[in-house]
Amino acid sequence: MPNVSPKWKLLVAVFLIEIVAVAIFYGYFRNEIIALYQGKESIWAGVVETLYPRFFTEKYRFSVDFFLQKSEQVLWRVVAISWIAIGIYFWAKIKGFYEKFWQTNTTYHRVKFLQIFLLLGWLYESMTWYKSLLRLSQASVFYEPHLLFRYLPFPSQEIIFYVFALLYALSLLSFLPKYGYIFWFLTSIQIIVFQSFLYGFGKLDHTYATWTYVSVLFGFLLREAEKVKKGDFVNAWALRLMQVVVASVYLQVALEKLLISGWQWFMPETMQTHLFSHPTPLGLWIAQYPILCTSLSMLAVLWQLSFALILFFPSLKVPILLGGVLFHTFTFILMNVGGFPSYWFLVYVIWFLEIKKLPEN
Amino acid sequence: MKKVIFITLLLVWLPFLLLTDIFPFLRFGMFAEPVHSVRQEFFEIYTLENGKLRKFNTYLWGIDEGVFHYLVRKYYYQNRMNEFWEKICLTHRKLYPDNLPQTWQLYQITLLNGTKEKKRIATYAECKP
Repeated sequence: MPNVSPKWKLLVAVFLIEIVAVAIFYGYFRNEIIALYQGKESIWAGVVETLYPRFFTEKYRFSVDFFLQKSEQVLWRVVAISWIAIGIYFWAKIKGFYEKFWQTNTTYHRVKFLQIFLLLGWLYESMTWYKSLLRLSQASVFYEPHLLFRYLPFPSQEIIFYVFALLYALSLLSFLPKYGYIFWFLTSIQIIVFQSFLYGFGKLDHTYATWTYVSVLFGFLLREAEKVKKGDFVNAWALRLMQVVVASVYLQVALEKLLISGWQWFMPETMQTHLFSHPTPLGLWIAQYPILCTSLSMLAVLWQLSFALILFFPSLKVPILLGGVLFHTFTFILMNVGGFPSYWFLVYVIWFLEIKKLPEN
Repeated sequence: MKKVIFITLLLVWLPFLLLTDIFPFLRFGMFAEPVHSVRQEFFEIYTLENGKLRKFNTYLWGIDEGVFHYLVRKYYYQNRMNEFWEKICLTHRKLYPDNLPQTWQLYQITLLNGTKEKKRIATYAECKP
C-alpha cells in the first residue's frame, strides 16, 4: 500500500463525507423540509426551530421553493467553503504566506490602548443596556432566547444592578499585570450574555457584531502582552486573527445577499423597500431614482466582497477601510440604521496597531 | 495558537454555513431577503374606551415599537395570537392593575407600492385576572 500523507487522507475523507452528505440531503432531508412546510410532523422540527428559528414565521411569507433553495445553499456552502479553505491553506503553505501572516508584533502600550478603547465602547453602551434591561424586565414573559441561553432566566431588576456592578469590577480587574486576561474573558462572556438578554425578544441587532468578536479575541492578545516586559514587543497573532474575523464577517454579509437573493438584490425595489422602511429625507429622495438604488446596491456588495483583499494586499488598507467608513456612515444617513460613529468602523483600529519590525536583541 | 485560530474561524463561519439566527454567532447581513414588491408591514395596538380609539404606547410595557413589531409578527404568523394576548394581559395587569382598558384592537398596516392599507386583525376584551 502506498504511503499516503495525512493531508491527502484528510482531502479524501472530506470528499467522501461531502458526497454522502449531498446524497442524504437530496434523498431524505429535502422531503422533510417540504413536510415541515406543509405543517406535517417531522422528527426534525425541533432541530429546524433551533437552527433556523425564523422558519416557522417566514414560511407564511415565502413559498416552499425559497426554503428548499436556502437549505440547498447550506449544503453547497459547506462544500464550497471547505474546498476554498483547503485551497487557500495549500496555496498559502506553498507560498510560505501562512506562517508569515501570523508573525507580527505590537507593543505593550498599544495593547493597553486597545484594551481601554474597547472598554470605553462597552462602558458607554452599558449605560443604555442597563436602562433597556430594566425596561425589558417588565415584559419578561416575551423573553424567548435561543440555544443555551434559554436555560438562563431573564434577570430581575435587582439582579441586573448586581451584574452590572460585576461587569465594572471585572473590567477593572482585567488591568491586573498577571491573569488580567482571565478577567477580560469573563468580561467578554458577560457582555455576550447581556446581548443575549437584549436580543431574546425577537429583534436582533448587528451593531456590536465585529466589536464583540474583536473584544473576545483581545483576551488572547492581552495574554501575550502579559508574557513580556512593558518595553518589549508583543506577539500579535491575535491581532491578525481579529483582522481575519472582521474580513470574514464582511465577506459573509456579501455572500449572504448574493446567495439568498441572487440578482434580485440589485433590482431597485430591494433598496427602495429598505429606504422606505427606514425613512430619512435623503434616503427617500434617492428611492425615487431606480438607477441610483441599483448603483448603491452594487457598490455596497462590491465593497463588502473586496474587503477580504485587505488580508492579502496590505497596500489596499487605506482605500478599503475608508470605503468602510463611508459605507457605514451612509447606511446611517440614508436609513438611520446603526449610528455615528459606528462600532463597525471604529473597530478598524486593529489595522493600525501592528509593528512589522522584529525586536532587536 | 493554531487551535485558537482554527476554533475561532470555525465559530465565525459555522453560522454562515448553517444560516442560522443563533446569538451571539448570528447572521450579520441585514436586508438579505429578496424583495419582489415594495411592501412594508407594521403593527399597532389600540385601546377602545368610551367609544374612543387610542393608539397604545407599547413603551409603557417596556417594549419599544421595533421590538413590538417583531413580537406581533412572530406570534401572528405562527398562529399563536392567543398566547400573545395572554402575555400582554399578564404584563399589563402586573404593571397597571388599576387601568385595564375595556377593549383592545390590533391593526396590521401595510404599504404596498405606495398604497396604505390598515386592517384590524384582532379584537380582545378586557384583561381579566
